[in-house]
Amino acid sequence: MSLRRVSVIGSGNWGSTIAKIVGNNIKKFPEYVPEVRMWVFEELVNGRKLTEIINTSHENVKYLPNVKLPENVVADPDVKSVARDADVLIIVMPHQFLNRTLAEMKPVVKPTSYAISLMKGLALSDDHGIKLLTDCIRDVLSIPCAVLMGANLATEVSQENYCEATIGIDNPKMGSELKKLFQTDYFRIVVIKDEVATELCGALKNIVAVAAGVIEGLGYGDNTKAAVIRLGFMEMKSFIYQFFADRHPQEGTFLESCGVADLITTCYGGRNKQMGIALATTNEPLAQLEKERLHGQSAQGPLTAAEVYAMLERKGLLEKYPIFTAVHKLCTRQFDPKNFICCLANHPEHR
Amino acid sequence: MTKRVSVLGCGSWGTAIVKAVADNVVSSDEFYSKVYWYVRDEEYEDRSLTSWINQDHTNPIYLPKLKLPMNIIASSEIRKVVENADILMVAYPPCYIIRLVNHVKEFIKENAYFVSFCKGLILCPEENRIRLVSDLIREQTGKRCLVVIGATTALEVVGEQFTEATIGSKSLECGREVKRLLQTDYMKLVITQDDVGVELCGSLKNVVAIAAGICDGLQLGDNTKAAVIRIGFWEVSELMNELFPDRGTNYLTIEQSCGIAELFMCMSHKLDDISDIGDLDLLNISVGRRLSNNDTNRPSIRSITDKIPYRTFVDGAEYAKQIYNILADRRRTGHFPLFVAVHRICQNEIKPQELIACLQSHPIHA
Repeated sequence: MSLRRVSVIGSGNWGSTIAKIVGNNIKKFPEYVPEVRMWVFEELVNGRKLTEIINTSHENVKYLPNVKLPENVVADPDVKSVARDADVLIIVMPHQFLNRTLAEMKPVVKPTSYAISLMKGLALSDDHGIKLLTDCIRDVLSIPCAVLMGANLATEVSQENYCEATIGIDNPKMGSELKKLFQTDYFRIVVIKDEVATELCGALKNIVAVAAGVIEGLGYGDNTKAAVIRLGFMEMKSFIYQFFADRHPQEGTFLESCGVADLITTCYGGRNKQMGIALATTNEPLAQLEKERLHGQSAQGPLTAAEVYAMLERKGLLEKYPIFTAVHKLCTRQFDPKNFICCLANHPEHR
Repeated sequence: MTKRVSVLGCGSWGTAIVKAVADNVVSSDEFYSKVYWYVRDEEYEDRSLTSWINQDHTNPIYLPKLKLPMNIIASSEIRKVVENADILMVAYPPCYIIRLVNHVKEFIKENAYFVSFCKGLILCPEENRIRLVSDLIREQTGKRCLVVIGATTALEVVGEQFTEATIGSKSLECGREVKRLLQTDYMKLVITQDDVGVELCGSLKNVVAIAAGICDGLQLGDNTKAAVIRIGFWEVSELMNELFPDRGTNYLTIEQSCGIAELFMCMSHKLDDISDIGDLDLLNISVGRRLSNNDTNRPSIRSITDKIPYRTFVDGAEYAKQIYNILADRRRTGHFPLFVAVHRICQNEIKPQELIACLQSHPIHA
């Protein structure tokens, strides 16, 4: 029996944080190759190669400064070299580079391996709608793909602040392996079978966070905000059951860290909420607000809301999703933000 | 035959309820157009409260500035308010319910039923158990009792701010009737048949609120706090079944306004200026904060709660203590580390800083 190998594809702050956890955990289990290879997109930092810095001082000085990585984490600029022979591929990278990287890796990926995605967000499908990032991985690499999602941030996990995550994987053996690799005293894992809702919660919550920001910007109280968040939560559930029922979403998923806990942290902090506040308190177009307040980066909520709106409109379902619909229409400046709350007057939850 | 509605309780919550009902019945075919309101025999500026309400249509003691509808009839004679009512809405703190029910039970019509708006439980330390307010009403009167609980306060209902609440009713017919009485453009209601779960969520959240306040006091990050709240949630849903098995409790009740929306409030960062007519439930968050933001001289739980000026404050620490005693008796404390930790922190048995250590081996992560 050969030893199992785990690799990390991606080395931003989240990738480096996970490499630290997996690197420390893997040493406890003799059935694994102790080395954890981490793919690092090569760049120069103060004239030196980042991979060289990581391998000598064991710190990702650019993306996770001041956090020591265990010595068994080895940085490698060649994604093929990292993916080759791996039994578990931990994929954690900006999703705009995902398809290209997968195509590059594909020739060397073991057919018996599986992946786990730690990427929050969605891809756009060809027929206009959303596509799971894990489906991109499954489609290109033809291997199973788990997902890890929850109320956690790289900066906090790297500081060993207590938090949780949910792993969605419909294979008990893979699930128990992933729990061994990822769980620590401060990073607590619940494994569930529901891959699709685990991942979708991570994307849809950003729409609700925009709505929460709008309510805050309009000056409503905490109980109104709580009601809007709860209704948004119910729309998340309804949407997942409507469009992904064939993939067996589970009721309990929404009460896991990937559901309600991630929803509340996103609704009470973060850039999507900030964007909602800005939409409510100014009349500026979204693109202008993003340029001013997010330095040109896009908030995920408005992008997701646009795709979700298109899917709902195509099926004639807009009136069943008043919050999702109102968020999109406000992001595209189709009505005065003062009228946001009126959109909830006939919410299906209250009929 | 039009049905008659009476409201018992003249505090801010009772006032908000009677206004919503009065607005709804004033032009209803289904309900009698006047609402009777039991008001304590109390005076304000040398006039009785009933006189203020019936003549000036205002409740200056408990909700000043609110103009009350003219179809409200206030009386301090409880028999007169109760004896013709088909639906009796009760908005009192739990500690007053026993006396109230004993007083009215002989006057109640055959087919009348109750609606309880009481956010809280009845603690029975001598018997080492917890009783639901609605169960107490049912047992003492032999009548049906629905519950209404949610993330809303009198101030918001009166200010016509959009909020929600949950109706817990085994009978869908009665639930729908109450919804027609109470729902407005700005206060929205959802019905569930898990009445036990609705009532427990509205009460047990006070223990989770203390834990959330401890996180604030220790300045833990949002993701840690979210984990603590979610784990608290999970323990609430487990306690529903632990404390009231075979009562049809459903863990999904936690997704209603009585559940997660109330717990969303724990995540808010604007809790330092709690209004004097606002949500007294948030005071448990303040309790948690005060327990943990003072490293050197840790206050006792009593010194914190005794300073709270509201007589009807729902004391999360007392709930935690009673639940701890029940669980200890059953040797089930290991299944509920957060509730146990809150209790022990409140009793100064462990430090607030130990809260997170208590969650490191939580059964939810087993």
